[in-house]
Amino acid sequence: MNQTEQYVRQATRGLWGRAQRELRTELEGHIAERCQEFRLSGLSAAEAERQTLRELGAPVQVSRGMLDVYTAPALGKAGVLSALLATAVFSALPQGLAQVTSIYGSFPMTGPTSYLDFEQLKAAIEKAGGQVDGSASNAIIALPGAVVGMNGLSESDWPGISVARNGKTYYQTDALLYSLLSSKLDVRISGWTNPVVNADGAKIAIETSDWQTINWLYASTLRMSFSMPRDDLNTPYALIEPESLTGRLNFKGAFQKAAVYALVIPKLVSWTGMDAKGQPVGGFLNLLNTTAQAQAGSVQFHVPPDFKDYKLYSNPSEFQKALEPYQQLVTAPVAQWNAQHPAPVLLLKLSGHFGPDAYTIVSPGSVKKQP
Amino acid sequence: MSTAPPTPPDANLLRGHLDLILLSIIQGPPKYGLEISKLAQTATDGYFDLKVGSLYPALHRLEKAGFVRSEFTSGPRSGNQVKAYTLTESGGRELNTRRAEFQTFTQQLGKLWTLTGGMT
Repeated sequence: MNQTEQYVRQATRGLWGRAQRELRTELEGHIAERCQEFRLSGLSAAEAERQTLRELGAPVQVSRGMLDVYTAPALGKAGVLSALLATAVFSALPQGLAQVTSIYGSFPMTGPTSYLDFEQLKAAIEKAGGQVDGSASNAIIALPGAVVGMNGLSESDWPGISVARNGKTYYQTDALLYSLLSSKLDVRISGWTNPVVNADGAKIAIETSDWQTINWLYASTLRMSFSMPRDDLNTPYALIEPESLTGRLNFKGAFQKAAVYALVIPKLVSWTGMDAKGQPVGGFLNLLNTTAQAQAGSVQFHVPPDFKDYKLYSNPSEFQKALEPYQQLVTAPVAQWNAQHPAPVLLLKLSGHFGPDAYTIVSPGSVKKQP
Repeated sequence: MSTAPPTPPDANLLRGHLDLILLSIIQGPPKYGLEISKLAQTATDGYFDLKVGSLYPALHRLEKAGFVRSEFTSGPRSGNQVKAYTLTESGGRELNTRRAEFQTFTQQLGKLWTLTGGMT
C-alpha cells in the first residue's frame, strides 16, 4: 500500500458506505491535484507526495472530525442497542447494587470516549452513601471518605464533560474517575462484563458488556497517572475510534483465569497539543492500550487491523529506549512498523487499581503467540 | 515592498467562525477543497490557514445542513475527480445573516474600545 492509500484509508476509518467512498475520492482528488502542483514546481513524484501528505497533517484529525459529522446522530441507535443489551444482562447483576449504563463513541470536543448515564450515576453514588450536587455540566461528587472541599468540575474546565443523547444526560467517565482520584479515594476497577468501580468501599456498578467501555475503564488505570510515580508509560495515549480495533491477537501461556491483561501498542501518528503551561508540544508517537480478560492459559486482544510486526519487551526502560527514535517524525527510521522495524510492545497484567501497582509486566518468555 | 504575514488567529476564534469563513469563500463559482483552502490563504495574506482536518469535516457539515451542495468534477491539473462545492439558496441566506450578525457584533465591540473615561 502506498503512502497516499494509507493516508486515505486512515482518514476515512470509521465511516461506512457512501460517506466513506465519497470522502475517499475527495481526498484522493485533493492529494492528486496538490502533488501535480508540486511536480510542476520541480519536485519528483515521491517528493511531491511526501510534501503533500506532510501538509495535510494527521489523518486521524480528518477521521475524527468526520465521525462527528456522520456518527453523532447515529449514536441514538447505539444508545437504544446498549439499553437492550443492558436489559438482557440485568438479571446477572448483584442485587442491591445500583447500575449505571454507559455509551462509547466519538464526540465533539472530546473525540472517542466513554460516558455514563448521569441520573443513574447519581442514584448509584447516593446508594453508596455519597452525594451529587448540581447538574452534569457542573456536578460536585462526594463519596464517604472523600477529601472535603473538592470543587466540582464544570464545562469550562473540562470541555465535553456532559452530553445529551435521546433525552438523557451522560457524564464523562474520565471526569468521574478524576473526581474520585482527586478526592484522594482509593479507586479500583474489578470484574469485566458489568465492571464495578470501587472507591474506598463505595461501589458503582457500570452496566455494560461493551468491550470499548470496559477497555476504557481499565486503560484509565494506566492513563490517569497523576497519582502514579512511575514513568514507564509516560507518552501520550492514543484515542481509540469506535469499532476501529478489528484485528485479533491471541497468546497462550501462564494467563490467570478472569484476570485482566493489557497490550501497550505504539502508534505512529503525528500529534500536537499543549503542555500544562500552555506551550505547544508535538510528536509522532502515541500509546494505544488494549485490554482483555483472560481465560485460563490464554488471552485474546483487540488490535488494529493488520497488526503483526511487533516485539514484546520485558523491561520498561528498554521499551522506552526502543521507542525513542520514533518520538519525532524527523528521527523515525520508518513511518510504519514492518518486519525489520517491529513495534516495541509491552504485555501487562493489570491490577485494576489506580496507583503504582496498576500493572506488572508479563515476561515475553512465559507466553507464546497463537495464530 | 512586502509586509510580514499577520499572526494567525487563535484556534478557538478560527473554529468559532469557520462556517462563516467557508460560506464566504464558497459563494460564486463552484470550488473544491484544495481551492477553498488556498483561497482562504491567498485572500488573507496567510492569516487563515485551514487544515484538512478541520476543512473537510466543516464542508460536509455545511452540506448536511443544506447550506452547500457538491458535485464531482475533473480536477484541472491531475484529471482526478475533485468535489466542488456551491452555495445553496439557504446557504446564501445563512451567509447574509451571519455576516450581518458579525458586522453588528464588531461594530458594537468597537464602541467599547473608544471609551476614554468613566460615566459622568
